[in-house]
Amino acid sequence: MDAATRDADEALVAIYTAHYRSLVRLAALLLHDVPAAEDVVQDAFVAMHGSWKRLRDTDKALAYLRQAVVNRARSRLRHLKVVDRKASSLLPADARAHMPSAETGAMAAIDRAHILVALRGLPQRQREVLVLRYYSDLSEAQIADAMGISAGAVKSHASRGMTALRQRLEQTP
Amino acid sequence: MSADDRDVRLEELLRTSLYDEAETIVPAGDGLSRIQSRVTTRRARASWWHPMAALGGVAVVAVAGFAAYALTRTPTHPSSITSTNTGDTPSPTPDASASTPPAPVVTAPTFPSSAFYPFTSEAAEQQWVAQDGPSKQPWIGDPELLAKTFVASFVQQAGVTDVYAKHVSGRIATITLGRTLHDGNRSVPVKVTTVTMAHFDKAWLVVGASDPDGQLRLTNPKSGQTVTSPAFVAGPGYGVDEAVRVDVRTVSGVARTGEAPTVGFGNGVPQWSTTVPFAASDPRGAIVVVEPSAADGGPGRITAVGVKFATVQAASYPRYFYGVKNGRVAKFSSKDGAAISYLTAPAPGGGASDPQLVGDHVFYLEGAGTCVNALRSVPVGGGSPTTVATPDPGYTITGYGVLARDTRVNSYFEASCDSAVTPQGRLVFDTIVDDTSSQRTSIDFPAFPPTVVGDPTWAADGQHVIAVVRTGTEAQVRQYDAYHSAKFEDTTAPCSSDASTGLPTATEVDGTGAVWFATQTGSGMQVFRCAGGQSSLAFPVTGTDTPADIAVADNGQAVLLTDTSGAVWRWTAGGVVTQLHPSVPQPQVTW
Repeated sequence: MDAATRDADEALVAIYTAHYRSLVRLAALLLHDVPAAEDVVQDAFVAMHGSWKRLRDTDKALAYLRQAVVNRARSRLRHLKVVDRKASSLLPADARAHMPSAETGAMAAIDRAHILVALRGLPQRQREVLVLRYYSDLSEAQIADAMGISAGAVKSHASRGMTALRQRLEQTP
Repeated sequence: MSADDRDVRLEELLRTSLYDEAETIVPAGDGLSRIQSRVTTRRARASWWHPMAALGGVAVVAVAGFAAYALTRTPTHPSSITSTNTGDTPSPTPDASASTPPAPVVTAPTFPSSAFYPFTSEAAEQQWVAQDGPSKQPWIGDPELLAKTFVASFVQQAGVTDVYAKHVSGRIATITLGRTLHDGNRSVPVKVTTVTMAHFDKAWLVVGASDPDGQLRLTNPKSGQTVTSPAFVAGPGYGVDEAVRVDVRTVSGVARTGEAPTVGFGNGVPQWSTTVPFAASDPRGAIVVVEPSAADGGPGRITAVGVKFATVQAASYPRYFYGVKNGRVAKFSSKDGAAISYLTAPAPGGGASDPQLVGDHVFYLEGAGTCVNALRSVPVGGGSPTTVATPDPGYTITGYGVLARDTRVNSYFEASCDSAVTPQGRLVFDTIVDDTSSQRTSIDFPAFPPTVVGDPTWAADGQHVIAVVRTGTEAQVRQYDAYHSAKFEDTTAPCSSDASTGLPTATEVDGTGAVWFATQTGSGMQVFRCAGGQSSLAFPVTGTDTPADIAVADNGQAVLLTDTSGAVWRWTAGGVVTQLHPSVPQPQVTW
């Protein structure tokens, strides 16, 4: 085994230890399917390992992984058309059926359920931007890099996504 | 509620909703082994394909490939997927298919470069084998026993012995350990750490440990990174009122010098950080972070990152420093603080204080009765003192700075002896107009606060004076323009303030132009170096003391820090903080 391969093996373990869980969660928020999310992230890690000679840097590798996860999640949704079918594995179709009553004072939980349902109904790019922004805490530039779009497009998707979210929540009884 | 308020609320709601939802997602524990299995398969395929392709024999390839596949293929994990539908893939493009038959590949064992326990080198492992170690210390050959021993002996956390998950795949093993937490009448099983190990020869070697919940993580240093003392350790914040203890450890024991810092965070703080001075005799070790459980004080989360230690030669420091003994300016050994000789004679009516070495003279303040003092200087090699500046009548000089490249230029802060007098204080600039004339300007401080604390110090440009300005319970490092500032508010900030967690009390500029300042925090004192407007922590000293003075070597490679009780610490770049022990307290020193 040469030094580069050994380096890639060790980087794989280190990056897996530090980021695997958060990447799976990111993928799951995009796919609404935990096993599929794990598959997507594992694909990305295998690809990253193969590309380590070019990456050779943890930060670059993480950016690569994010990009691969977003792309693969998008591809999986597009080709398998599993959005609605799989969504039920994470969230109930009617979130309100599982909500605590308003009398219990659990308004925050109700809001959270509503907003996740509303988020799922957004166009794919808007949903990706909002998840990367508000879950992964990425900057506009990082989101643009992860999605392969311009920073201006990120702004546009974010603005439209937030507006749509607000409208959907306002329509919620 | 305004539109902006609603936006902020929606953003916050979205953020917390996503976080809460993400928290419910727990990946299966076999992710690493599945990835490694696929990597191994891919590698085997590549090593088989390339030599065959070179031969150019299609028939040979087909036969050999089939034979190899028959010999080595492993069942695909039932839930794993092949990457046939990878979609848009970032460059460099990952391999798409895992369907090509694999072939056997034999690789020579290589010592993992990130291993730090129980061996840090191939030679150490070989020595263990040669001394019949595998039969005498079988725990090194068993990943589960090694993980438990690692937590108990290396991390030194007892009771973390329950095995929650165990995955061994090829050269890599991960063991998740936990314990039973006792909270009142309840007993709750908790996962504490997942230890990752790599196999080499006859031994398993620890290469890292992580929090099974993924909360306690390190963003700095990264695994395998080379660190120098003091190690800067940071991680993302989480939770509410959290606290972690940070340590530097090696197989030889604790490498940290001084107390292990405990860092508090949570409540929305995005990042926690600290520095840990250390002196390591081993080439490798680990940054170990432990979060105690709020329920019983036992270990709640453990994270360890393997690092390499830089073999940095500690910078040298000036051989002598100057302080005051028996009211006289005196010379001391920087090695241990022992007094060597006096530079000034006993002065009736008051003693010397606040010495500052500038060029080949030591400047100092000398009292001459009640409410009378003067700024004086004496040659380092001995000689007659001369008076440099005197305050206005009714005022005394409380702090001063002399421009190194032209000692005719100085600045001092004078305070009224009568608190009813206005102004209560005055920042004075004695500057030169040309070779034959000078000018004196000043800024009034009508009433305290605000006031100048400690010594003002000249910036490298010879135009600005940097001082710690105290305003009530707060203080800031501010910069005055000696030629243009007219009021005490006419200041700028020479350094970013976000790094200065604490109350600044002393400042000094070194020969490179870097601004240094000492702050008091809740857990001790910190000294920051500020260059290009950006501050970074140089070193901390734990305790509850208030910094009184800092003296920075001209090259910025060594610092003396004193506290108000007269204790003295010496720091050198790449080295450690050492407390000196002069025979008398030294609240103000210089070198």
